[in-house]
Amino acid sequence: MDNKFYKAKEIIASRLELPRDILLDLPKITILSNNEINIENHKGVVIFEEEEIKINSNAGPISIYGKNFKILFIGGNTITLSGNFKSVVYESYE
Amino acid sequence: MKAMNNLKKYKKGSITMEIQSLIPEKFINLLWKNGIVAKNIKKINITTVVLEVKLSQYGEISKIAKRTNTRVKIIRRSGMSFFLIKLKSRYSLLLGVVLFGSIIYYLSTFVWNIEINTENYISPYELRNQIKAFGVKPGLRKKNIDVYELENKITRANDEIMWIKARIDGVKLKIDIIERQSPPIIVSNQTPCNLVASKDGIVTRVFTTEGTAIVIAGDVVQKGDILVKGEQGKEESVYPVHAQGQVIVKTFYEETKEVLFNNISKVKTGNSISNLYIKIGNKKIYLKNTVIPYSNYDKIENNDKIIKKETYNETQEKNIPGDEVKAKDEIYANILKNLDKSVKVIDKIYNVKKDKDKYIIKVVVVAQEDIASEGKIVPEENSVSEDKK
Repeated sequence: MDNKFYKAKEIIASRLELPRDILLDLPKITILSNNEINIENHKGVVIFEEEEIKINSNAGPISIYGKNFKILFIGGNTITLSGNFKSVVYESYE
Repeated sequence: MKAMNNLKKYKKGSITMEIQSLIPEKFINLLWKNGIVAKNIKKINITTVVLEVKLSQYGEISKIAKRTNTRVKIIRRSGMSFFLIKLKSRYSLLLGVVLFGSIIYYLSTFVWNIEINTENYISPYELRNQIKAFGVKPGLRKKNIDVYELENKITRANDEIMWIKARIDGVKLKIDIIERQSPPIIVSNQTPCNLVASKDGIVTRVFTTEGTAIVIAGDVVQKGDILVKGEQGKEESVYPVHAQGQVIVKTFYEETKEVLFNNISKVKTGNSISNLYIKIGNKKIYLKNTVIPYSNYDKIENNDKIIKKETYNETQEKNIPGDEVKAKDEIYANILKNLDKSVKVIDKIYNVKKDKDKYIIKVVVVAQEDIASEGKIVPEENSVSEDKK
């Protein structure tokens, strides 16, 4: 049921050329160089370690590998991270 | 709890805190879910995280911390709010600052000093007193002083003032004055007059620039005699003038002095003895007393302290023979002392006579000087004195 509703939303969004990130609550990820990343529409921090940060989202968890992590801002539905990034991984990829 | 609710009004404070829990991510998520904005989250180790939050949200944070068994330690605080909180507990300091400011402001509404700049003739002291009489003095409210009116009053009271500026400068009333520069008065003395002798003497030379000379070289003149007459012209057309000129005259200054052949005077030998005593009533109690071995002595008493002192100085009588040469010089110097600088000494005559037991010394100084001085023309007397001659 939920899935159907979601699919319908997706179709409407694509038909009407509405911004999908808002309508479907998808994460919008902005990466600045290798040291700042900004994720909108996230669903909370799952792991916050020395060399890995995992952030939940509607598109599945997103892992960021690197070091010297720091959460510059967390509030509303935005999270901003800084640090020295090695890779950004979508964990939901099969 | 109440205190925590109170924190809500502090919008401009932020605190940095260190949290310790088994799963700090959970705590962060909870903060986020409760709409608490966190900044600069940094992991120290597995269980410890440092983060920055707003002070107004501290109440909710502590609630969450209790629920998740998280230990919260505040390590730094910053912002205006903390300053205000501190001030609240030191309100007397704040009061002092406000009071200080207001007192300074209040005192600055008074005039505390009057500075007066004048030029040559008007003394600031006089002006100060004058202003005081107008009711302007230090300690007056600024708004009660009308500088323009004061300017007018001062100029009206002083004729010598050409320009005046009175302004209030801070707590000072500054008054600047420029005086009227009156042109110099040229004293022209053209009233007719004679030249009259101011001393006795024998005329040696006569110079006249105006007037007719009556005396010639060799005349003996007395004090008050007319030397140059204030007239000029031929017999029929004589007109009065302001006589001017120099009449150089030999004058004599005489002084006599008697000097004894033998002067007996006391001379100290240098030996002395002193006694100490205390005076009670009329009785003297001696602390130190010695018999005086001198035949002649001077006694000096020193009475200014409680313990009084008598000093006996031995003296000897000595005969100093009178010195006529020294006496002569003394007399001469004495005469010179009384003479004007313009007087030129020509000669000095000594005359020493021996009396029974003394010299009689006479010194005469012959000098040359200008004795012409202005004298009024008294028409009748003039003619009479001329007739006499």
